[in-house]
Amino acid sequence: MSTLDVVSQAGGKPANFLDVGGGASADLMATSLEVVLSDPAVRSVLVNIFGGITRGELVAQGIIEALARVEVRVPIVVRLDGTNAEEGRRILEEAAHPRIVPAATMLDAARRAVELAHEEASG
Amino acid sequence: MAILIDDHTRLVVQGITGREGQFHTLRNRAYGTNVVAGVTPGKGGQDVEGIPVFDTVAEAVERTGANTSLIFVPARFAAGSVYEAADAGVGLAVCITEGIPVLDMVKATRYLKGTGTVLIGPNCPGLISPGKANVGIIPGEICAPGNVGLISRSGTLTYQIVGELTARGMGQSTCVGMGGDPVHGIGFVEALERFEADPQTEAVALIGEIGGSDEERAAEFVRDHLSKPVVAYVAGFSAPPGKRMGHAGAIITGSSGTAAAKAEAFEAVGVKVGRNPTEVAELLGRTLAR
Repeated sequence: MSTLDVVSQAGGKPANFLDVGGGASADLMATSLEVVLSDPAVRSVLVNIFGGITRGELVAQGIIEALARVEVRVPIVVRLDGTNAEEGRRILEEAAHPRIVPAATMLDAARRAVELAHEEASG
Repeated sequence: MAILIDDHTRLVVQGITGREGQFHTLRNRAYGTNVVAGVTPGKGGQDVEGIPVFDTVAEAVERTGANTSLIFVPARFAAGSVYEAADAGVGLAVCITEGIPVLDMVKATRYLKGTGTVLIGPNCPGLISPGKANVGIIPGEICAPGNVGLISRSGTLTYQIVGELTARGMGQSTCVGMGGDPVHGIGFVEALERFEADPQTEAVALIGEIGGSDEERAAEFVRDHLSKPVVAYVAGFSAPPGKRMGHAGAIITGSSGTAAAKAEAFEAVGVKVGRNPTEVAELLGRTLAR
């Protein structure tokens, strides 16, 4: 919910809000992305995870799975911190998918997602 | 010092043999928490990487002197685990489980009033006194020992703000995740009371969100009882009314429970409110530098 607030502060307007909840599996992550991407109004996706019970490597695997399952037409900005986040970031780096944009902090991620959404809208 | 948990904590984990129970028990132990026992009915006599498992909490307390319980039991049995912890006489029960029926918690919190057991949660990340003990799922590596006390309704925001504090060289006395359910154990007021009495704590970060009136009551308590500075954060300024936002308790009902009303309540009693988690850490930095 705080993620929505920082997106608004960065000048963006959230199209929707999906809380993956605690302990999200890779499959839940992939399905979540499918749901979010099914909305044609979405110009960029912001994945903001600071995991406690949620494990970074599972989030990363879920994103990779989603990329294989659905056609991703917009950039996905990913901010990954917390439990097993390093492993998660490594998985995303190795995948080197052109649609995945890593971000270091929550505020950076929000700004980047809003910038990219504007670029998508005008381009 | 610290509040609620420290070097004297002797932890029993209810649901230790489950997937999450085992994973986080071992992380808590690796952090340095004294994990003395686990409980899974029917699995008494086994062990989890050397931690003895008992059939009941009472037996675990009797055999190991456990004084704190951590609950990783599935939602439909979790309230029963809270009763069991109280009946066994542990002083603190920390319930991580999400999705416990509200009516179960209404009964359980009522029951606890007649006992010596304090509850944290449910649907919470637990708590950590950095350098002393970690009870729950807060990643220990983002914390550092220090003098900021933190109390929060959101697990993720706890991590976010603790991470920002640690990155700026501000350690923490104790970080408490009170959980996101409408009916819960320790709240802002009970934590503020303890932080005020704790000599290690010099300032408090309070992290609220839309829904309910916990923040408004916290503001009143700060006005009447706190000598230490408090910096607050309220999530959900852009949340639409009438929608449940991630947590069962995070919902704006009618015109009450909005983020703006809560921020106003804090500011009216001199509590600074950060616009985002980064600003909360910056405000605390300035407060402590004075």
